Amino acid sequence: MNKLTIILSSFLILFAFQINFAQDDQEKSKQGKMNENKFRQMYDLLATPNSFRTAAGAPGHEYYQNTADYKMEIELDDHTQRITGKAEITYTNHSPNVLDYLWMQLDQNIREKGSISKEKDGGGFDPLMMPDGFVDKYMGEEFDGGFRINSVTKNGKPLPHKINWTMMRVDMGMPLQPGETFTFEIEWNYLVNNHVTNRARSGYEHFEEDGNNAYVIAQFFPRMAVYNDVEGWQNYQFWGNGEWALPFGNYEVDITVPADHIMEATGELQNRKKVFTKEMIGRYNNAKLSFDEPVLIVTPEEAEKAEKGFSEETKTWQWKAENVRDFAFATSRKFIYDAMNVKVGDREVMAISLYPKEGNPLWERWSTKAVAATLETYSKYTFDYPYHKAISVHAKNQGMEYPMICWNYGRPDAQGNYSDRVKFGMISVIIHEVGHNYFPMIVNSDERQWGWMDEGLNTFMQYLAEQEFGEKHPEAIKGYDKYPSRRGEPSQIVDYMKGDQDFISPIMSNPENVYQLGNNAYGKPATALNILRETIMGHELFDYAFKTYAQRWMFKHPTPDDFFRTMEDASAVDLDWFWRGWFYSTDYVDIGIKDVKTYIPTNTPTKEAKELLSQYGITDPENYPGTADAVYVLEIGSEDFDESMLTDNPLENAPKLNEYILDNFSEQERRNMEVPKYFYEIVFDKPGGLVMPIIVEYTYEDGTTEKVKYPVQVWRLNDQEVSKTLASDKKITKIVLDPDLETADVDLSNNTWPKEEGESEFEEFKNSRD
Amino acid sequence: MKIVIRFFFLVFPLMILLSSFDWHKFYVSVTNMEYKKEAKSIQIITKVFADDFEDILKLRFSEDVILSPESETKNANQLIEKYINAKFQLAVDDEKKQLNYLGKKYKHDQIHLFIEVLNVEEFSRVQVSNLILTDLFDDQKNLIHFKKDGKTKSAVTLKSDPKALLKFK
Repeated sequence: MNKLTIILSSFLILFAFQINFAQDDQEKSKQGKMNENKFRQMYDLLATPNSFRTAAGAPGHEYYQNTADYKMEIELDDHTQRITGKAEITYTNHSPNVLDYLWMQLDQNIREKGSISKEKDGGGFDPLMMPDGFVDKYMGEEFDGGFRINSVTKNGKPLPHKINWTMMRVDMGMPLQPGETFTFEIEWNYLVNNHVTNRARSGYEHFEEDGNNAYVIAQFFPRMAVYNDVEGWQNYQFWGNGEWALPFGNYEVDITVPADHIMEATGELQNRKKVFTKEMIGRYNNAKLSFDEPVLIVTPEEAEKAEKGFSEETKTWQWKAENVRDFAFATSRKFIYDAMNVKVGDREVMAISLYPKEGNPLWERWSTKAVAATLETYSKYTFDYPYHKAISVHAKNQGMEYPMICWNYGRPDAQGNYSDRVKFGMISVIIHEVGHNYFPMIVNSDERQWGWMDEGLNTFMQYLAEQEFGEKHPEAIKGYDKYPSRRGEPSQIVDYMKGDQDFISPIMSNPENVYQLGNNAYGKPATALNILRETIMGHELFDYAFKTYAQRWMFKHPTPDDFFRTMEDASAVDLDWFWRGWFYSTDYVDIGIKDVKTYIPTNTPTKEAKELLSQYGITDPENYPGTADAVYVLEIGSEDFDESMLTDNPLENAPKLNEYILDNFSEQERRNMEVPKYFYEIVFDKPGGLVMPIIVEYTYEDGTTEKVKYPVQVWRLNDQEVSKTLASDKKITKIVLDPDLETADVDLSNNTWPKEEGESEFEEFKNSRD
Repeated sequence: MKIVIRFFFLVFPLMILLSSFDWHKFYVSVTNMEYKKEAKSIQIITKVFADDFEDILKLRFSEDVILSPESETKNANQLIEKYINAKFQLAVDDEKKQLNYLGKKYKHDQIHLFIEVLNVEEFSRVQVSNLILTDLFDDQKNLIHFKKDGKTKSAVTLKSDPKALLKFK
């Protein structure tokens, strides 16, 4: 036992007494309570594990998921922007339950005339309106999207069905038994919306100058809903915020468009020789050999020429996709097309971009490279990208994801100029949307219920991929020391978390019922995961657990519980306090330094010690056998303190401690001991509701610093205030809490001792002007 | 016919506001205000998304406004000041205060606007009306934090509810 430990243990005993003493002092008649400890386990919040989903967070031995296979013929009329389709759908019931009916999703019905989604928000009249706005809101012609279901049949015979807004029940005639399949046919059509004026996740953009349309099409067919062990049928209506829950399946889709269109879609192209020119096929084969630069398959000159064609002929593109949860396509005669090969593990994947000339010179430069970099980073942290291609399509002002294909914004001005903001906005959105292939296209969470499960995890991964993109392409971030990521760093979420509690919801909320979906489903969960990785778990433990989650639930349907459980199960880090605080509450982090006291050791009982001991009947501690040799700490500046006690030899005031050391340690051992001169007690308080590790940087008088991280468990027994002691032979001149801004502490004014007001952003700006 | 054309060009951007969807961009601004007792001033930093802010200046003033550190429109600061004065108001104990726009800083995809209010004596109530960017987006949300004597009060203003009253006793 060394001296330091002796002294520290006496500290601890004394402080422990003080805490008890202080608590005894309070009112005696407090009521009892349920367990409110911030570290209590989450039994009250998590579903009971079962044979479908285990307590470890993995699929159980009876885990099942149903599948939906589609064979479709789709035709696009470019003159009227109408899509007409017919589908043969095969639904397979792998569940152990009998299904009385099927539910399908009719997402386009959110845009039908008189759709109730337009009335989902409250609020009165605007205090003043421009005449144009008034006309548009109250007098304009309403766009009539929405599916026209022409027929629902089985072997040509009509099937009873009931449309309830964005959901349709199909009655099969007889219940679907476990293990059985049901095949039926649907015919439908709908009017495609202009996604620029009538913003949506799918639609067309019209180019006034050349009269062309660029289509980015999704939710274009009635899609099967998910039936599973947690929701039954997931048929929560589509109100606009909560995206989709979709079963996996195989697709065969034939899409007929004007003959001069260029198309990309989910799935493998089956008739490349028919729809590509010979030249295009040659260039495509070259692209397969290019691993560092994209190869043009349709050149800008060819695309500009095609813009003027307006062919009245049609061409059918045939696509086949296996094990995807959805299908989307993009088509236009305006598209330039480039591609390159990316090595992902032992697989080769084509990174592809489609863009009209309006996207250049930005798109030819960065789109395909951003796709490639995304696949590399995401594959490293999750699993090797399992599909054969990933496509980024230019759309004016939306970013939206589908299996293998996504739409992204980022457009230079008419002269082809673009700012860094437009460039980084574009690269970031491409990384984000391509990244969605992993969450939720493959790790297929229920977006309708939990927006954060794909957006939060993906935004977290986006941050890692952006940073790695910057490292891979230093020429892209010229002028910056690293890629300027918008979300992920803890300080960036502070403005949200410190806000008016009336406008903040827990992450564990349905996307329809939150005030700020961007912060709620993207920013906060991404930041929370970043904090877990950087500060709570460390890279190695976090990355292993995160990868375990991704691989366990790849091509399956995970729930939040499965994620929370896996992260703990694979790391041996108890995180219940973290999930409860960050995901189930709107609490925020605010830890402060309340007080710093300096002590010296002494054998003379202090006033506080005497008072304390007298409670236990010890009135003369110096002569009481149990306490005769006790060491006490005396606060500098207190009543019993005298300046003369501050000597070069700190043991002068504690002769008995000195004797103890002489009696118990050899000369050699004593030589190796440092005799601390200063004994500090630092009191941390916690105005914020979240518990977090206390990260402290101590600066000593000689300018050296020491960073100490007290584990979050220090808050176990007292959620308000906690003290830490420190012995040092050097004087502490400064203490800073969370010096690297790792914890999203919302108030930094209580983070330093002695209290110092740094130059605020405002003053810094004002002074720089003068 | 003229009316129809006007309708088309002016309503076109406004139609964007009427949709109920959005995906990866969410319309939020944050305004941090702090009362400085000794200086008798209120220091304000408003953070807005640069592309949205550029869009609204384009719509209101001139199509060729560019807000970017690389190539900024010459009169950008004048236009910003004009816009702020139109959309942002502050009263201290019921007395309307003049906002002095000092300038701006580009930060990633945001712009930080620096605004100062002078000659502010001790007070107990602040009324803020913040309609910034609500003319571009119906669902724009403006977060407000006001710090005084070490305490922060927060609010959110919306197009349909632009005013916030913050009380300090």
